Amino acid sequence: MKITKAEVEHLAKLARLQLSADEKDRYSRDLGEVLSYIDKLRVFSEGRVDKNNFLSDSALRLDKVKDWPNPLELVSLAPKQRDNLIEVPAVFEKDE
Amino acid sequence: MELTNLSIKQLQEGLLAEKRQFSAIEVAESYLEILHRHENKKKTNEFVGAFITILEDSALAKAKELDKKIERGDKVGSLVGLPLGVKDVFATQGIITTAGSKILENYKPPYSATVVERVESADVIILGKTNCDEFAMGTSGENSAYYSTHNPWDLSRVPGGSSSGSAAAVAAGECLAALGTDTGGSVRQPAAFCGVVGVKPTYGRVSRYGLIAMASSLDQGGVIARSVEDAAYLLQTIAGYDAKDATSVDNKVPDYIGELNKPVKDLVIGIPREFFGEGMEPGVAEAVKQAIAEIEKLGVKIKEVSLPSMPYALAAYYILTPAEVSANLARYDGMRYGESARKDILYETYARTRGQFLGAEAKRRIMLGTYVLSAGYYEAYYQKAKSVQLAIKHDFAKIFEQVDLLVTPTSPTVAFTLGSKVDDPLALYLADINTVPVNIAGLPAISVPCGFAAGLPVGLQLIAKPWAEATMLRLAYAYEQVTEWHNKKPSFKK
Repeated sequence: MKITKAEVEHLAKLARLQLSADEKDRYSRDLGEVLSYIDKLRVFSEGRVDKNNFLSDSALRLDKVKDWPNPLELVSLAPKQRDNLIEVPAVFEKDE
Repeated sequence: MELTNLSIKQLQEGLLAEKRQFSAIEVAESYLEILHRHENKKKTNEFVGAFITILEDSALAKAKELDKKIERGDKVGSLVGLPLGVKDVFATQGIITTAGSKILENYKPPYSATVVERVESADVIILGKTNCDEFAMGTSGENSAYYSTHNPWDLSRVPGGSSSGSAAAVAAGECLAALGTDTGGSVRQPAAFCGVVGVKPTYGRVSRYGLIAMASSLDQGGVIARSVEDAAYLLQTIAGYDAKDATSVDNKVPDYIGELNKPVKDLVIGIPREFFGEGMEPGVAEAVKQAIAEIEKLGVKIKEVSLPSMPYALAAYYILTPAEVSANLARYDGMRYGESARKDILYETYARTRGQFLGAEAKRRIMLGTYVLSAGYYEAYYQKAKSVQLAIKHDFAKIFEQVDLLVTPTSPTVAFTLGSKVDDPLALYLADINTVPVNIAGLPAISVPCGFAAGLPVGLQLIAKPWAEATMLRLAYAYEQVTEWHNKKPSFKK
């Protein structure tokens, strides 16, 4: 199984990872090898498995807001801050 | 009296005896002396590299405080004065917690993991944060972004991973016991490689709150110790329900220590043939065979069993885990905490931060996870892996209708040479072939030392049904009483 360089670039874009040329080569090879190994699942028969069971053991907690004792400490962890707020690059671009 | 040879029980007795035999500060200082000996990078003939952060000042301050409390006759915690190593994936408030990654090199968590709070209120002395594979991803310790940990039995070999530092530190005598985490074998496999005891509890037994997430549906905190009894003491303290972890389960925690001495002769032990497959080294096979013969002498019944879905476990694991990794590691975006390679454009800030500060294995798993979850592949990979997971759970449940415990080799090999597999991710993944099925089924398991092959420790894995930690500890303890393997000390040869 082979993963092409174009596929690696596409995945890296989806995963927000900047990769060097060497890394692209390496992951194209590594991913191919691991996926070939994983391919052994192809012969596994799902016949005896009840897919409705997938979520049977999920647990949910109450959707309740609780106060955090020191919110400013959380803000202070951010790489860039202004006036007790976390500063980030613009999410929406200007409509020219 | 050799203070660094005491068990947890002996330590408690000595500290709390009417006529005190030693002080907490003497114990802490004795351990710190050994720790410093093996954490000096310049002394390559002794360097283990088990710690990322050493907490000497706070450890000594805590020891002093405990001594005062004991002198005054104040109430102290159940693990008073225990010098402990804590894997660097457990958040420790105000203390740098790196998870073995450069992206968290300067990260001081604003809160502590529940497990850390529990051991702290039991009055342990935390000596430091132990080295590990980045975000607990690895089987050799070589994925640490800081340095590789060396195996105390042979410094040119890996200690196993990902709780590499925790296992090596306990084996080297740098701490009495340590906390680790186990997603696919990360407590048991390094424990086996380093000749110490490693316990992976049932999923939900130990709180994951404050444990930096790798694959949340499989991650579980565990313990590494020199003996089964020590492991039982530590597990007793960290086990139990925590409302802050939605997958923590509110089951009563049994008296693990009290159960250790109960008889084992009515137990039925299964030997699952699929765990003795190709790739197993002859020396490992021999040691495990002898261990099974020893266990049989304890009066238990031995039965051969089969786990037909086992050959698919590792493949399923390398779909489920990367899928969760790709989601869990999305939080490292250079915005809220951690390192950041800031640019004016949002996408570039994300991509550069992650490209620059995440290591090779983290990136590999993120890519793999992104691939198996992407449109068109989800059914072929993720859904198939979830089906395998159900089949494995089902197979184990079937077997546990006939037997109480399963016995297998923890790893098919002994510790391999540092650097020998770094370019072969698949070969490294295969090191977890016998431990991964346990996580996939959410079961508890323990690895105990059971001999040596070519001078390197071999581990024996006991697997129990969910919540049956006490049964597993009981047999492991009985086995330990009739063998000497856990008392052997490493040579630090090169």
